[in-house]
Amino acid sequence: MSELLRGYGRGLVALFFAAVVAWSLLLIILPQLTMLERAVTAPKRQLDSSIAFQLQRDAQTCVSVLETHLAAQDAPDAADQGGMAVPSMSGMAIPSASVMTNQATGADAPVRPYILQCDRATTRLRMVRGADEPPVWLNELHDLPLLAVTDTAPITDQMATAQEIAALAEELAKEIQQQEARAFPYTTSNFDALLAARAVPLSAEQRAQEDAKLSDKLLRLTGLRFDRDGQTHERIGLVTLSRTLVYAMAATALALVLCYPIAFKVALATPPERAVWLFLGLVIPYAIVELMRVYAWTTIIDNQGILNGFMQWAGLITEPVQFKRMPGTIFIVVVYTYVLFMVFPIYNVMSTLDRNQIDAARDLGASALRVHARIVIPHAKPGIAVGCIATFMLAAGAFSVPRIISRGLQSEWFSQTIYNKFFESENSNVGAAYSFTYTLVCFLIVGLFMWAMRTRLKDFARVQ
Amino acid sequence: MTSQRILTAYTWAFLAFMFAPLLLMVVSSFNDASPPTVTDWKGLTGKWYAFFWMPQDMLRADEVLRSLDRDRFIGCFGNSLVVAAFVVPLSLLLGLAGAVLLTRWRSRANGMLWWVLLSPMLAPGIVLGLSALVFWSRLGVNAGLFTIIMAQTTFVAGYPMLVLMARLQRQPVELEEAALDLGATPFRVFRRLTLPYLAPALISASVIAFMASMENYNTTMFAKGGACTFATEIGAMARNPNGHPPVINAVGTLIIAITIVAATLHTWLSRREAVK
Repeated sequence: MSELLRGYGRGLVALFFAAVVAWSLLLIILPQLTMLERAVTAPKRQLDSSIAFQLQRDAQTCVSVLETHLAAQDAPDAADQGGMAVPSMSGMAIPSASVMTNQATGADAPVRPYILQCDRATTRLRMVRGADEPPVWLNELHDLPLLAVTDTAPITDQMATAQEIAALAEELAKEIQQQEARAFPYTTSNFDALLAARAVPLSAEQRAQEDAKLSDKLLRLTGLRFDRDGQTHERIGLVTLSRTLVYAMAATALALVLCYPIAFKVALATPPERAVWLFLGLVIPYAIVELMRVYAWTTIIDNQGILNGFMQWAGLITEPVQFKRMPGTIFIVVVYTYVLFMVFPIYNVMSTLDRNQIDAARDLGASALRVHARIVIPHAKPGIAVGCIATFMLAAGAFSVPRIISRGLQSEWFSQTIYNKFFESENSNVGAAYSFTYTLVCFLIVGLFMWAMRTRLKDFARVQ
Repeated sequence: MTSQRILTAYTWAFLAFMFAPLLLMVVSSFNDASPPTVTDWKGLTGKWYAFFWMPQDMLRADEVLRSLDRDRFIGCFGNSLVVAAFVVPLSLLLGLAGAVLLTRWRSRANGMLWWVLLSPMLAPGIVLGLSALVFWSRLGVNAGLFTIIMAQTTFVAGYPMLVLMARLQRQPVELEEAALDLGATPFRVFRRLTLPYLAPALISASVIAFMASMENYNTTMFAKGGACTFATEIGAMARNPNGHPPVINAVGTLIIAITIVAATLHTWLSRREAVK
């Protein structure tokens, strides 16, 4: 600390610390903690108190709408002359329903127009519980009398009932809310969605087809698919997660195999003055906007793309092959998009190797394989590790590739699942749980890999 | 020697693999067919480029171009520039601070700091976008350009940090020590010695940060709310179910041309410097 102060002075050191603290807290740590909090919180509208509050609001609205209705009935002229006098009435009532009320005179006929809130104002409300749990009702759970605003009762009775319901609901809601505030606020139910198994409806024929596949055996072996009550069940969330991770690892491995010779060629097997231009050939595609490189593939794999065009021209096929429906296409494009993130770390480390070492080994009679195994690979190990981590993380978090290439025509990459759960499902907290789990799993994999490769974090600074 | 030849052939094949899709994209940007294709040649055209300056009535007459929203596209591009205008200086500041503390601060917390500051570069980009969205909405800030800026800065700041760290580690300490011994204030040393020494690294770091911010799709998509940037708009156009218009190819061709010119110029200049 004293060295830092001496070198940079108090003002600058304070500025640096402030910047780093702001970066770590505001941009990195607190957002992740908020994410975790979101992930372990049940969504608000599912709480029992929210349902009681909703009941109170519905009952109150019912009362006030009925009041307006009564007033309109007492002064029919006003209502007929213009809708202005009872705006809420005309908004609430379906025209045909109000016509019916006017005409109906029987004892059992409803005496009020259709009012949604009055229909909803009943103590027999179903609470939100898990899909496979038996239904729970508000009146049974909290010992409330069974009350409902029946539409055949006289309007004044209806209003009295609704008022009674509103009062009961208000009291109950406050009570439940207090209980909820005292109760432990966190739950793991959002994570359960990730583990949950869903029945997959399959005909006998489809089933036989599925059973014959290798993927089915793998899924059954890992317990991701199983039979219960003669129905095939699948843990869809986990299947997507593990499939994405397997694809990402395979893409990383393939990228390593593809890149190692290239890095070697550019760093060690080319005279430096020519290597500059080879290097340029790698930098250009690396620097081009990622999205454009992904998009460029549409010209190849589209129905009017070059692959289909060529095969049709050669008479191999008559109908275009739907490449965008094949998982393999996404895999290839992921590799294409992120392969260069493997080249540069390996290249950077390799280029620090003294070429004389290789020449010396050759002169002493070592085979090419031995040179690589004993000299080049050990030297390049930090670069290989960093390249693998970077490629794996990019491939695992790939969102643009599956989104643009598949256009939703095949099973999701996990990043898409997170997107859909967060932005398009009824409970965005499940999306937070998915996202948090994914971060943890990815860091765990990277941590294990770093431990196995004896990589330190400082290698990142060295090779990039 | 044969192994050398195989390696050379493989290298060329790899480069062909890298460039072939880009080349196809460039070629199809001149084809008068939508969605873009190279096999079905309908004639040479420049209209996918002219889209950006075409008068309004010509635009309406074209059956592909009239369905595109040019003003929105240009607006989104402007948004990207705004975002980059905040992200680049912010990440330079954060990156410099991080680099100085990681290289010069001898403390037990140093190891922790490494993990914290490098973790955004290791995390999947989507997670960063989503957590920025959740965190700032908790504080009452709606998703939009601000959350995009925050989400991007989180990981973009890591690039300047690594670049500056590499340069800082090679900084000769003697000059600094001499200046301090001669009575210069630390701030003066920083301004007159350290900053000029870091200048080349700062420039390349800001170029990298700018490009990272402009091209970012994965993080931005999650943090953007109702706003749009250049990358998300390109992504939206590329997903168009009625066929993606070759206008994207034209934009891509432009980007490729700029990249090639800039990279070649940079290589040529640095080589000339090295020869000197």
